[in-house]
Amino acid sequence: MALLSVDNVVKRFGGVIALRGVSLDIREGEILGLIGPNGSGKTTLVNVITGVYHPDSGKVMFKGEDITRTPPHIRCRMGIARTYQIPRPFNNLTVLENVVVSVLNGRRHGKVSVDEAKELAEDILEVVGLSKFKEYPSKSLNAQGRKRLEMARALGAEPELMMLDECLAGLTPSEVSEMLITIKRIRDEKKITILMIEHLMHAVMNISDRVVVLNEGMKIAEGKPEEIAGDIKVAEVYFGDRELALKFVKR
Amino acid sequence: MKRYLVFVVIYLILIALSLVSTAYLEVIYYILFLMVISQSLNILMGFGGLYNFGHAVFIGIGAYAFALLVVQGINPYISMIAGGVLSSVVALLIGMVTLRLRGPYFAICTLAIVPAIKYLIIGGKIAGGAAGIVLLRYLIEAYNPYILSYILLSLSIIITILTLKISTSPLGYSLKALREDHDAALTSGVDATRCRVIAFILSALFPGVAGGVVAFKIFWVMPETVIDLTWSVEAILIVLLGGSGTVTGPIIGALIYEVLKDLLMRYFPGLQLLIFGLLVVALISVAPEGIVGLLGNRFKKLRRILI
Repeated sequence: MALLSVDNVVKRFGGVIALRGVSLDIREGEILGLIGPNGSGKTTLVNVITGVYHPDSGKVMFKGEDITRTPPHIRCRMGIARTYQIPRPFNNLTVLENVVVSVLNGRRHGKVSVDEAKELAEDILEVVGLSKFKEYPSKSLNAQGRKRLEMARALGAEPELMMLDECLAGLTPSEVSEMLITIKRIRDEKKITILMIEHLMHAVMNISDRVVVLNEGMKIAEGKPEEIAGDIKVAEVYFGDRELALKFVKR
Repeated sequence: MKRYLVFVVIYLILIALSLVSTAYLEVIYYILFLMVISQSLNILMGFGGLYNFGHAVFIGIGAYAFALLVVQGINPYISMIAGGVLSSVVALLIGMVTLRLRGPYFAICTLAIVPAIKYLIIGGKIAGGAAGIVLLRYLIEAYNPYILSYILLSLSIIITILTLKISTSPLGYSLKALREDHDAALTSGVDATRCRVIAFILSALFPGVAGGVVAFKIFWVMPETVIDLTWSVEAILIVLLGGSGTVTGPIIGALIYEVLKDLLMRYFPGLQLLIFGLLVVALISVAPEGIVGLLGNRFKKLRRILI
């Protein structure tokens, strides 16, 4: 059974239709890549899944339960966590405190003391490689550090499903490879299902078990990375030109 | 123990000075009053980032509850506590409506609460309307300025301990997270409404009790004197001046605010507000994180005691 399924979700912002009936399943234990051109509705979909937006129609199911109207903090406590595309750390808190917040409020909500939360948070900082900076204010971190902190904060809630919204954007090639290793480690060691929004094709194709492609609020393809790479519709969307797309796919 | 040095020193100085003369006692009474109202506001404003211009309403509610009970012949000290409890109940009601709003919208909404309650009492002729309730004959025998000041002292100490506890509690972390980034806090599992309502109720309790002390002190509650927007503004100013979100901040802030105000009144009568305003603008531009933040940045060694 799917860990999370999105069923025919429509989301409008005034006259703009960001999602036009998107359905997809996220299977337990997989890394699902979500790609698509700018404005195709990827982040909106994540916002619908986390509960920041309510869909105009359609359903979101998590572990067989309808969560379409569930508030965001409850969804987090159920096991859905996310990172933000533009990192949003709690600036004036230390790196450690940032993670303590999500440990205290996540799935262990109410069952963990502040001291225990700090210990758990330190373990998580170890995983993402931020231990050295734990006492620094989070605003002092650089771009990569902030991306890692986003991940640490999401992990703090002990999710079953973690959604990474462009966590590789703006990183240098060597930082990207480090990050990919961390993501794989999280999936393998912590058994967390991952939905990954990404623009870096080689990274997505490399790490994903399956890939879903959105364009203009619609799902246009779904399948194994190699199938997607050979999909003429996907190539057309990305190249904007059928001839070019054909050439690319043939090669 | 060393961590609490600042609190111990300030409270000991205040107690010592209160015993010197009744003139000092008056000043200290007011400093302690400001400490109570600003530290209680700090829970909401410093940790939660919510500017509550309606803070003065809690003093008014406490004062009115106190007066109405004292007139019924109920012990004044019990009436003070009842005032605090009622104030928290009202905070729950106000909070459930206003705390849906964020940032500046919440601030503007709370700004309307003070005149709303004031003119509700005047226009509705509630509890004596504009004339209020005179308490002199009920309280004159029990009056003792030392007891009133020491009640404020105890309130101030209790609320400071409470604020210290909250600062490192799950509630404190959640409030700070909401202050820094509301949406990111929600998706990290923080129950915004619950945390903010609890903070609101706690921050209303102590000014409610202090309202009873004020009523006792002046023997008279009327809308114009006990529901005063100035108190809200003073509390916000003191929190900003001392250091928002720190526990020592409001204490140091209240002390400096009152001493400065008194000195200016004595040496520059008539010009005191102008000079005071300029000083505040200067101080906030030099030290946006308040006096505590400024000292902490300048003198790293002080950081351990300026909590």
